[in-house]
Amino acid sequence: MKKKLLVLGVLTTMLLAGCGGSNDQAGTDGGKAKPTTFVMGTSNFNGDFYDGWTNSSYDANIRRLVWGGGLLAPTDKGEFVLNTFVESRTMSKSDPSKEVNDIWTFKIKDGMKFSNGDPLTAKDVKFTFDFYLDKKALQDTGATTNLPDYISEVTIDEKENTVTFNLKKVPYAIDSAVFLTFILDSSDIAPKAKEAGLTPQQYVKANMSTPIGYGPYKIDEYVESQYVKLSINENFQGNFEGQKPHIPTIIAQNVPEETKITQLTSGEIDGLTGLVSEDNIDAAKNDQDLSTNNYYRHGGGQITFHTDFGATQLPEVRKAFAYEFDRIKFRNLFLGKYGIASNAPYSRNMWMMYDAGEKLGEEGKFEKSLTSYDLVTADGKWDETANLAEAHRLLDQAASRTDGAYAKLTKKGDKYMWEGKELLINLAITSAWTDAINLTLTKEVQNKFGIKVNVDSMDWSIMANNLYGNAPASERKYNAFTGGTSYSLQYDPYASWSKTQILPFGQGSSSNTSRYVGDEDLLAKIRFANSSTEEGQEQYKENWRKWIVEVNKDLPLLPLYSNNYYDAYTNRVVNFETNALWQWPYAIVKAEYK
Amino acid sequence: MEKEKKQGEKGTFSNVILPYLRYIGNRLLHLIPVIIVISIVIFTLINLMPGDPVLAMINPETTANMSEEQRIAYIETMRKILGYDKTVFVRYFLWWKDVLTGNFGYSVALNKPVSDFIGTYIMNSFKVNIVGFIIAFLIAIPIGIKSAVKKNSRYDKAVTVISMVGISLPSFFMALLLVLLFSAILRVLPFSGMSDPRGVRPDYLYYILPVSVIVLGSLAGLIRYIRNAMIEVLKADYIRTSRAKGLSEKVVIYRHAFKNALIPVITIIGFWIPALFGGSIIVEKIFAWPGMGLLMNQAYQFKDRGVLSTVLLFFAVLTLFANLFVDIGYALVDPRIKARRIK
Repeated sequence: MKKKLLVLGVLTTMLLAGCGGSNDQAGTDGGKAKPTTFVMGTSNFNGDFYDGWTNSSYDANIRRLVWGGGLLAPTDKGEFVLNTFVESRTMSKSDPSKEVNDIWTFKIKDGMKFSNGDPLTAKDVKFTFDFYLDKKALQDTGATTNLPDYISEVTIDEKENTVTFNLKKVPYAIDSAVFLTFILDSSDIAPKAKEAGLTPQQYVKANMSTPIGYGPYKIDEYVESQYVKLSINENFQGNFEGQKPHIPTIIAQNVPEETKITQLTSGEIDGLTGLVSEDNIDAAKNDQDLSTNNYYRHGGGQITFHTDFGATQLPEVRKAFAYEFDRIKFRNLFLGKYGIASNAPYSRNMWMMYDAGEKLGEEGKFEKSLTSYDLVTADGKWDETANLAEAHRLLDQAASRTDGAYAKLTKKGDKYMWEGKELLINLAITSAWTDAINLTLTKEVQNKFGIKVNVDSMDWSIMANNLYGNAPASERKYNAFTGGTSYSLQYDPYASWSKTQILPFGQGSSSNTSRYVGDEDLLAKIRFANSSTEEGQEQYKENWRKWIVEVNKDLPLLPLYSNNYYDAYTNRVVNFETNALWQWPYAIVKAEYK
Repeated sequence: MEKEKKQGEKGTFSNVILPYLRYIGNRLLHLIPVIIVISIVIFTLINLMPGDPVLAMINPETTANMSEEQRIAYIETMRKILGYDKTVFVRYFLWWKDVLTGNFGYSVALNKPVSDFIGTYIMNSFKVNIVGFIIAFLIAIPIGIKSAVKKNSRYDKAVTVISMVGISLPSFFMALLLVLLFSAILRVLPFSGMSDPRGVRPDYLYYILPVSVIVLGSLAGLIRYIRNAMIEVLKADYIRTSRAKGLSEKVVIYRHAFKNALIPVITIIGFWIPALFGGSIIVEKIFAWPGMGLLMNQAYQFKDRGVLSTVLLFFAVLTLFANLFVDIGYALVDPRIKARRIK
């Protein structure tokens, strides 16, 4: 027995000796020497590190590290400036009668290089746009692009190292729609594709996990479903401030949701971004070895109403439902204390929300002027009496009308009826929402307010098909849907709200998911505001605000929450300044170990 | 004459190995109709999933900002790539043709053919599940035997209590406990993954926790089965006879009793191994271990039909082969069965 115990003891000692120092190797690199590696915990990636195929945000972060931008690159304030390998941009009109400049020419600096040493020239820019403009070749590999909608021709002057774009249209969001496209290394892709007997698109598809870029980092190793290891690209020209990376190695490591916060607090990994749950955020905030950045999400969760179906056709019903729905309680159940709710599709990261002197992230004058769908008591609690009164006022008002769809809403005693039956909203949700929704919309609340809600939990793809209108029209049942949304940096509401984006239900995917028809002229004005002039930007802001007021009034969707995101990381790292518009792959460039 | 007979009985290919091969061949042939029926069930169930399979597989957000023309072209391309432009009947045969040629369809979530990655995931699952099971089996044998031999002793009661605790603990809870103890508190083992991106920690350290969960999860049940089987066998007359013959206790237990006790244990193994792979969905998720469990979990979430059908087929084939091995195991340990089946 003693012998066995001795053997066991020796084996355990050997094992632990083998593990010894594992913590030193972990995130902090231990010791007093300046660490050389930063390990960012992330959810799993697909390994699609080229743009155009799948759209996981975790893959997108790797692309940002590898490329950092296209001809234009983002700033930490969500603006777009010339990338550091571009010398200049000139704009002109193809026809003097045109209102906006539709010919854009970029001059590439001489001597620029990709991370593998290949030259980065105007030829590569043309190759890239030809690559994405070849719709057939692209679609044959399952990729997508919107570039053909904007570009009619791309030409280059090899001697001058310039590339010229003839644009079909110049919407306000042209910068982000076209000129953030990552430039491909033609010297690498073209000959190898030819040698393999493939189209460039097929070649890229087959080599999706080994991209060549010109951004701050280059991929050294990718292990499927585990990690991506990147080292500094010596040919990187710097970010918009001319900053070059300081941390030699970045590892994006797939960490399980169940243990990620413990991995961070124990020093196994160095950072986690986008923490949303109260437990995780509190654990990070209470850890003395961690620093945190927090900001409101540029998007959030919402209930989208189908405004062309059933009782939710009537704005009064939608708004009464909003008053029935205690969003404060819901947020506490769903997120804990880290979240807010807006009253229309906007976020507190949008410059259009603020007047001069107001601070991004805080509630500005314009936001205060909008109708709030949470009537609260003096101490900030949901005021059931006031919300109930407002809901009934709206329903009574609608029931008294007899025109159009209003004729279907009636009042029988103190009950509201739709087509002779009790007023009912069919709400489609996914499983993650079940508890919070059911605990908020209790039977008691439904009975008091007079709008019954049938909540059906289902798979996301089934719900999405109903939401987007892909389901058979004969089986159409749902009036409202839960879901999340993220706003783009340059917000073009036309793409999601124009009536041109609605297909008859059952005949395909409608990107105007609420099927809401509003002021089309206003949407067109927003879309085609001239982003390159101050006047154009002012017009954009003015019209955008008008549109927000309209949507706030008609309520085709009810925002439920916007997370207060926390990014947490080892406090040995400084200058890691993430925000809603400046994700960690951009911010890591300036960061360094103390 | 007797000498010749003995020579003939000695292990020659024709009288020892060939009958086994013939038996295995026969059993494999019997598996074919079973696999066909299972494949029809899997294929039908996957095709019965609600909605247009192509639309269900495409992330609606991917097509949301496309023009109508682009959207239709994209969907039709995907329909063609995924083979959904053909009838269900044709698709079933094409699916079989593809499977037999190593083409398991296309993963929409991972944007690549299933055959490009399925092998790696299968191997990763085998690495933890089979190693874990073998270790559990090797530990369970002596404990189970000792427990049976010393029935109702303190040792036996202690083993019984510990086994009951082990059976009652869900694997995810055990996994999280081990992570908390060895990774978070003692900090001697990594939390998750299969290897160290820094290349400092040896790979084997990454196997310890997931394998431990498999071992602990299997151990308690196996000990119980071995103990119970041994108790039954130890009551048999031939064991009493062996002892009366003056054979040593070691020989009686390990040569005579244990070999016979293996028959019910082998039956259990046949069910255990497929269940082990199914149960590893949670273990693989907690340890971010890219195996079949994790893949199935992802495939289910994304309605990734190509992956889902392959994973289900894998589980079906695994179950069938586990049963085949059980039958071969019976023949190896039980001369009566051998005499009946291996001719």
